Amino acid sequence: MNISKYLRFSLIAVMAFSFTSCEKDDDNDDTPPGSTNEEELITDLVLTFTNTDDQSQVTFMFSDPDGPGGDPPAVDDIFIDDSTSYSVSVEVLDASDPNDVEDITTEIMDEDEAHQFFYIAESADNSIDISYDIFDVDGNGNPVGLSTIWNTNEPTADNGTVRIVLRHELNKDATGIAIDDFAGSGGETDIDVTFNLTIVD
Amino acid sequence: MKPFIWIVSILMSLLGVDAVNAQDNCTIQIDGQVVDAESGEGLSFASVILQESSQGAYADSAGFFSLKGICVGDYTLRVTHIGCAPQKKVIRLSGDTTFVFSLNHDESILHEFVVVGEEEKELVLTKIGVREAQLESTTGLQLAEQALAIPGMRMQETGNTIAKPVFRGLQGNRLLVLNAGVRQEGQYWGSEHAPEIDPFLAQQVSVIEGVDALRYAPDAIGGLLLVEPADVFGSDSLSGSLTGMGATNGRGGALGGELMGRVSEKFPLYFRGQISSRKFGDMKTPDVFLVNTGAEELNYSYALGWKGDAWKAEVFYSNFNQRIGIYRYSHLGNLTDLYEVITGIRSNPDTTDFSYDINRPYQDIGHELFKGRVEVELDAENKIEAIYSRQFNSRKEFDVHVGINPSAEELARPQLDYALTTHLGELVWRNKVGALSRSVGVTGLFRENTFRGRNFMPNYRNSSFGAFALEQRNLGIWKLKYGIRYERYDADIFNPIGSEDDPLNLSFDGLSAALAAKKDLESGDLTLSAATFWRAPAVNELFASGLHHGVGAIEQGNSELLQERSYSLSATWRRVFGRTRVLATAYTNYIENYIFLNPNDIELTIRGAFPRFDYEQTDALYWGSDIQVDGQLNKGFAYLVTASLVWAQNVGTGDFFINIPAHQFALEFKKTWDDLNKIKQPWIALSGNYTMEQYRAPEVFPFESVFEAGSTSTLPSSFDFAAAPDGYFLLGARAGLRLGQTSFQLGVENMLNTTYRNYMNRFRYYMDEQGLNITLRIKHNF
Repeated sequence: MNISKYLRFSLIAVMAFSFTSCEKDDDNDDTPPGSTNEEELITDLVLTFTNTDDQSQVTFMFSDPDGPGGDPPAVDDIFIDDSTSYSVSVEVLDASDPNDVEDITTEIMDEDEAHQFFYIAESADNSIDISYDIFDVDGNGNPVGLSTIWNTNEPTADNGTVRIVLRHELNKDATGIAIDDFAGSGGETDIDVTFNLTIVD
Repeated sequence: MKPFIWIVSILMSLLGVDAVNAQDNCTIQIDGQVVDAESGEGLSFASVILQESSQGAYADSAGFFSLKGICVGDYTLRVTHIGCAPQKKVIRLSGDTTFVFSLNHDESILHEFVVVGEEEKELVLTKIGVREAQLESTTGLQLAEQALAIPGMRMQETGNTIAKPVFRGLQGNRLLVLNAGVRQEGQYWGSEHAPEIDPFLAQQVSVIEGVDALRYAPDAIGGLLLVEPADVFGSDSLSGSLTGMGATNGRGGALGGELMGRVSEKFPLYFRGQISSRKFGDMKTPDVFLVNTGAEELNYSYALGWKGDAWKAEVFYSNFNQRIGIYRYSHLGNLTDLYEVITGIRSNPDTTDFSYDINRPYQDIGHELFKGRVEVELDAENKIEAIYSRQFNSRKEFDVHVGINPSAEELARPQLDYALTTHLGELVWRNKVGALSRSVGVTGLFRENTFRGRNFMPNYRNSSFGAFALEQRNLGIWKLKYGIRYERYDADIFNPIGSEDDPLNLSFDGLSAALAAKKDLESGDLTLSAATFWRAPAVNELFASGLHHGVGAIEQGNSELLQERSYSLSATWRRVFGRTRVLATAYTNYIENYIFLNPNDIELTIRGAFPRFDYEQTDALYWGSDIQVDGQLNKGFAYLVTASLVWAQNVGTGDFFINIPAHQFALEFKKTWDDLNKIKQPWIALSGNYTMEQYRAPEVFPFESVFEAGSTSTLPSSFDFAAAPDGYFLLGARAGLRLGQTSFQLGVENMLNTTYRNYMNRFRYYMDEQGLNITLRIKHNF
């Protein structure tokens, strides 16, 4: 049984060689172990209200620089005037490193066909009416929602809330989809924040 | 084994000599042992009958028997054992005598594999497991699935690609896994992390608890799952096997090969090499394909052994590589998304076509084990064993969420990347004088865990040193084994909790102790076991912080956690009634300072609301029973009935815990025919398996009122996101035969193509379980 013997010895040789080389090569990743190269954390959402009459501006923000968990987020209460028309733009930031604040809004613009903002106002009826800015559309002519028009009426009740949702990889052509209804759109939630809203008489 | 039998036979003949003088007409005594012809192991509870006088006896659990008061004369001695072909021997008795009977296995019996450890004299507790022959019918499945034939063994799944063993309701940190004698070190904390072990490696899978686990670990609160490869010294000639498996569901299969032997007669160098691979595509429920549920695996291992006159040395190396797809629609944005999926507002586009592609989310897992072991026989009574092992475990998780517009670099790297290195050294001295045996040992373990990517768990280094002493002796009719173990655990926690220069130090220490007592009863035995174990809180329980994508929940560690301590009691009773064999276990496990994830709050993030689960401590009580009855109705027709019952309760609050397996009942019939020319041992089996609904489940999360109120005031003290699914019945069938050295098995699972959800699957919120699956398994031995 020479062949068998040869086979056995070569098997042993292969094994013996492999024992010496069994430490796995660690990744050729430059990042030192333990560093959090966090994938794009969205920490801040900034709403800038521009009064269409006098062009005066006011901003409100949702800010959670340490991300989910840890310290609770700081959320501004929105105060806007009644019977006024506002152009509202939304900005999304990664401010987890205060020395290197990253603007994620431009990335949403780059991927605008896959993203859409929704605005759901829960205040007394007819106090506010939010609509997409007709110029804020993606390559397919669908709304993106980075820019919106908010018209306020005489409030029947002063206080309410407004919920702002950013959906990702949704179907913008789904039936029933509206600025305040994303239920049938599928996709995932990137942002879902709720502000207290007061319409000042 | 053979020399052992000789020694026993000689011993018994020597003992027999004493009685010779006292011989009268009817005072003859026959002593002996009934052993398995193939393995030489003692066969428990074999029956030995003298047909002419109807005198008889049952062998004890190690196969020894004794017949007394026999008259001089000619007799036919008939030896039977469940699972074996009976043997007859015509004898002429004129004085005390000794016999060893070797019985051949009759393949017609269903579950002769249940008790696997009678031969191991070091174990007092009955070692219950699954042997090679039975493992053949689950080839190609995950390890946890292979272990399911063990009474009390269940599994926790995450989708269909990740299965984690659960024993008597306990899992994860509390159920340790021993691979080739080495404590398996992986990221075993999350339920979506299965043991990183090649199931093809296992020749035997079994469970031990209590005193027998003390030698391996202080923290085997829920027991220890032993995965044992073939003994490297097992074959003097070149032998091996090739195994193949194919399945219709997932349109995949597995291949494995093993080769072992001894280099030459003059050269006592032994070797074993083994390789396996697995590839599956998307699984199918009765209705749809589940997107991204494929898996692929390539594993290999080898071992070398040298046998000297009074010593043995072996090295073992194994390498495990796996990529598993995670069901695409299990990754959700937030609580609203989960609510929409659970309530059916949103349906998942599952109707896509079958694919072998594995896309995000997926896991890339690697595991390496190197082990060296030396055993030296100092003299006939003393032995020393030294073991060193080193393990590397790498786990990379690729999320769906890679940012709004990821760069190529961001796309290439995992979002979560852990590397764990473990060194383990053990030194054990064993002493055996007659029925008294002792072992004393020291162990040292060193771990280093580092991460890259998403911050979930800090880096840490940890060491654990232990010393144990065990003793086994006979006390009257009881065979006792007891022991104690001291362990000290130290951990240094680095980034981001502490820093490399100034880590946070933690230390814990404690005693574990256990006692087992076994008593032979008429044609059976009874084993009682009591144990107390402890475990230090794991680093994730102390410091985890962040979002768990699979369930859309924030997990928050608790640095104030104390060590957990268990007090367990169990009783195992075995008995043979004619052609029926019964195995029944009752157990209770009281766990003080039981660490668990408790839902506490709804946390607001920029991605919306998420439930926050905090690690908390309470006292927990687990209790239950496992019952197994197997036997033969008539020749070639066997059955097996099993019941697995488990209860668990939060003693502090009276709440139920989540993910406790529901009661399960199974029945299997097997029919075997005689050999037909070249077709050996053809058989078919039909099995039914009923799993109850888990009625002891936490309340359902009140989505509506939480969304409405936007507050946390309405949260129950314990909740789950969906109600426990209904109970379900599954029908399966198997058939097999052997042609020469090749065996074939055909299996049909979920024959009725039943649509059901499994409470023990974390993805039960989103997906149904697998539908009909037909498998073919072929094994060729050479």
